[in-house]
Amino acid sequence: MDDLAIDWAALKEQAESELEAASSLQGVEEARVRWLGRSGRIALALRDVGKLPAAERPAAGARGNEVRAEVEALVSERLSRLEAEALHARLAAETIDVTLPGERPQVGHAHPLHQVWRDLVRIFGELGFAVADGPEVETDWLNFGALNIPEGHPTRDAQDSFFVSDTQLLRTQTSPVQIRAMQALAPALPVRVVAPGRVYRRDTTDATHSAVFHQIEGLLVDRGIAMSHMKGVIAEFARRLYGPETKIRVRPSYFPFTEPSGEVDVTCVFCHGAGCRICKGTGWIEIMGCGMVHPVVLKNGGYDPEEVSGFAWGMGIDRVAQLRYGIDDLRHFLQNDLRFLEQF
Amino acid sequence: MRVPLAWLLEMVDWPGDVGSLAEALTGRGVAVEAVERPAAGTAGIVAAQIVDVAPHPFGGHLKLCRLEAGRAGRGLVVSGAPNVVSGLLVPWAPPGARLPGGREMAKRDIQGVPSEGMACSADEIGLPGDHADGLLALPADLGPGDDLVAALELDDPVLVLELTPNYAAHCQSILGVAREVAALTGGALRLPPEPSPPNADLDATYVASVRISAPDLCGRFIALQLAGVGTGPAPIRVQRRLAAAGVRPRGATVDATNYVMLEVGQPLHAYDLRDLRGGVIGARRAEEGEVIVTLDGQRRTLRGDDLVIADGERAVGVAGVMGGENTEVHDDTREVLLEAAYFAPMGIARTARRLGLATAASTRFARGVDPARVRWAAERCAELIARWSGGGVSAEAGDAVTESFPATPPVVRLRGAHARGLIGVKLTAAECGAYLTGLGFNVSADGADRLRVVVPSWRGDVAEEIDLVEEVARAYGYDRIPEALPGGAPGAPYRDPVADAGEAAGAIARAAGYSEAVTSPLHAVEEWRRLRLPAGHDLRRAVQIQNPMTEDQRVLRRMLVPGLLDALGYNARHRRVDAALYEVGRVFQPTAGGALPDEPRHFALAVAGTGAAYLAAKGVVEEVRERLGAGEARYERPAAGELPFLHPGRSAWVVGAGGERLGWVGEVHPETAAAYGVVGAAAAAEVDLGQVAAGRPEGARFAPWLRSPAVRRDLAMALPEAVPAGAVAEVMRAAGGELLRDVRRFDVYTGEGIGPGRRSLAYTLVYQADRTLTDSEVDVAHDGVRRALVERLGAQLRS
Repeated sequence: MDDLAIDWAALKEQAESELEAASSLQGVEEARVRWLGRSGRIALALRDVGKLPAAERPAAGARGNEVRAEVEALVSERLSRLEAEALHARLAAETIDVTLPGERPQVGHAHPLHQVWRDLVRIFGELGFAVADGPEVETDWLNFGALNIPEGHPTRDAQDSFFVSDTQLLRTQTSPVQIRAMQALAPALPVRVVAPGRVYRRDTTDATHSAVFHQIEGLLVDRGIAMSHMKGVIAEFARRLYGPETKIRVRPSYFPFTEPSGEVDVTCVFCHGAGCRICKGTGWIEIMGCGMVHPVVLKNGGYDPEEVSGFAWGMGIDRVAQLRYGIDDLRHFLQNDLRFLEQF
Repeated sequence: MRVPLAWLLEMVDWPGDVGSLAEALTGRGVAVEAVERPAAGTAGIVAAQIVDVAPHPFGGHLKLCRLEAGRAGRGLVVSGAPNVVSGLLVPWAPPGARLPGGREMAKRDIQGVPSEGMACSADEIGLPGDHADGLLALPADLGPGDDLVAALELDDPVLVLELTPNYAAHCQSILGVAREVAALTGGALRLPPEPSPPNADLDATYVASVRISAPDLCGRFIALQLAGVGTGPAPIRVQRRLAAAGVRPRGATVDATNYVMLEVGQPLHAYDLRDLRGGVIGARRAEEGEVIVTLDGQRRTLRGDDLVIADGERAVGVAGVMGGENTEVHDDTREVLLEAAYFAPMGIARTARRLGLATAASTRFARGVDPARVRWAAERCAELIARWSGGGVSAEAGDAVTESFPATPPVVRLRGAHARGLIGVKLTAAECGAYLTGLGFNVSADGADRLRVVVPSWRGDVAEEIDLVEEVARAYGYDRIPEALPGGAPGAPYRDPVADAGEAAGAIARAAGYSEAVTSPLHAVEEWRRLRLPAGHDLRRAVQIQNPMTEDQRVLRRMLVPGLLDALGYNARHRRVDAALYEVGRVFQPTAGGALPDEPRHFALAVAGTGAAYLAAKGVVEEVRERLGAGEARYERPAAGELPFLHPGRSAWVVGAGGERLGWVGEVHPETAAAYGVVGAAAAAEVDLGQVAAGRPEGARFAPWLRSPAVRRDLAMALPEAVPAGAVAEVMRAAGGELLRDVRRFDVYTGEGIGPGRRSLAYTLVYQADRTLTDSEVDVAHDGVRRALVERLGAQLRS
């Protein structure tokens, strides 16, 4: 019965070489069907095992099952290799020019004034000052009178105002919020507020003047507040805004609602004190006015100047933005030219 | 205030250079805005006598002058000046000398004859004077060889002061600034000498008496009558100082008044005696509507609260501001009435402001001049006039004093503890006193830790204890005060939900591609025409500016959108047609009864070009409303004319759950868009942030999602076009009940197969519950929806 013997080794070798030759997923699949299918060569050969003498059957069957498993393994190995090759080829084909510009989402820009506004409020918030608010149309009393600026005071000349009635005007400064904040809180202590807002002056608009601009005002009233505290808070603010190396210099000045009053210079943000065009060679840049709250103003706010003291400061938000971004013309701020806005 | 350095150093010493002086003064609050050195580097100009004059060999107007300059040598110069004459002492700039402006002299040929430098006219060496007058004739106190750069202060720097109102009072004079310098150094002041003007031995041709009929506005009025006054110019040094201080020399008499004003801060005025009438001079209130022509040739119409100087017949000057043309001093004036006065500062400030006339005199009177120097200044001026041009005092017309003259200086107490507490430095009362003494205050102890301080006459700005604290602080030096952080409790908490809503809306708008704009709240009335607002429209009810400077400052905005449309137009004109802007800001609504206007904060957007469509703008509004947590909103078509700046068929009110109007959204009416210069279509929206934020729940709550499967059923129907999609969704939601979780529109179709005036709407309805729904449960709910659509809206179901 020699002619009935099955040459498993030859079958395996033949299957191997066919699979090896299959160079596509489809070729492997065809070979798989040819060899491992229900009527594939191995299945047929296994069927022949039954024709063998009983003594040979177990060994031949076992050998046949082994060969089938080996071919199955071969098929899956061959498949995964081809899949990997195909993936590799696809990825290679998908190569693009990675230096092409990205497709950017259309995201709008925040106005530079608003960005600076938020920064200033955040820094003063860190220093324990909450935001206080007041209307832009203000009474003559709160804008001037309550701030120790009586009728005929020269400050009224310098702050030529838009009037909406005999007693109401567009506020020329954020300082009336000082009175509002004190009146809202008195007699509670402390008063620790900042008041950012829009102000108006009857100025002809040009590169350095605007009828509409923005200020931020700060106020601290408590027991035992001194000029040293004013310098401390302002210096800390300046360091947080302009960097830890920043120094301040306070020069005596005059405001009707503070006394003693000062102008604050910071070491030039651009040359760090060496002297440059921006600071006109002085190494210093003026950033704000400040002073100890005038006793008359404390009284008008509802506090006794014999019991409490305080300091206040005020600065132009537009000016901070001008310095930060190097904007040389105030008119840009209200023009809303997208070539401007999209730079920030 | 301009301070020529040499003039200042005549009264006080300064150990350093001009830069350190400027810095020190600035540190004291006397801000030096600039140090001008227009003639820095000027050198080598000397006085030289013309000893011989010969004609130029080639004729013409040129002459050869032999100059003798003592130890500075001698030389031959060519000059074309008309006044060349032997014996004249003139400025000589020999080779090597440098003129103001930097020109360096050399030996050079003039028409064939070598000239050793040049003999100079006044203007050539930086002095006031007319070039046509020829060579400057130097005064007799100079001799050949004298260095003119030093003698005439040719290269003197000028300190330009920017004075604050408090220091302006006493620092608007060289003496005042010298006092500050002396306080800085502790050095001595060299005061100008006590004046003693000579008497004129001439008969007075006119004698006036002094009369003050407005004692509340005029505190003192001194009138000196001068006779025999000459007609020449003031000495060249005086002219030089006046010019450096910014005052044009005008002849000895007027120059003397200005010189004394600059010296001690007391303005003076000289009248031509020939023109004064009625034997009287003094101060009175102007008559309402009274007209006077001032020295500058302007007709000034006065009011009843203005003060004038008047003779017996008419006003001859606006008191403390400017003299009258009718009594002006002329070249041939030989008799003068000299006025020195003290006026109530507020009155002068008021008149100067109203007339728009800030003169050297008015800015000094308005701050309060030194009452102790009024008499002194009158005599000093009379003396200088006599010295410079001859003559003397022929009569004293009068010296009247009224109740408003601050004769006695105030006395103020200073508590050491108060100064320490406010400055934050441990200072004893004695130390405070020493600083005040240095500034000219008269200080004595007044119990323990307390001072009695007599304010000097020139410090009219000091009246209260706090003023003394300031003086101590600036004398101590602001720079020396340490920096300390205050302790104490934190401030009151701050919550502003409307501001938070504005921030959130802005973030959403930016994410949607809108950039933030900041527009002016001042609007033109012209906006109303652009917005197509008919007369009587509510949006024309705006807060009016009473004193606008330009037409575009007439009213305060009621809406943000006009500003945004204007910005879109601006960008379109600059070739940026596709633009999207938003703004968060206040609008202004007039209120009744004199209360301040309401200032609600709005959020608005405007978009032009690509994406400028109703649904796109509405989408942003929806996102904003939803993210802010506001409840349901409806979109209602506006009544005719309510929002005339919007497309009537593509605009809607945004209506809150309670029926309140939150704002509006729509495409911009083509006429409005065109009026703003917007190219193509534009869409816009504006909502009241306060209203939107008011619908905000306490805080967001987490809602777990359902784990059971959702069942989707599609539905298409045909409806009359007039039935709004909003109504369809409302009907479906009502009929679907709790099981209907979501309704999504996926198609709108008009055209073939639907019929005219009708459209097809297609929706996906999502049913879900906290358990797995059976098909029959969903069928029941969905059938209910279908029935409701047919019965309530007449829908023709298509699937």
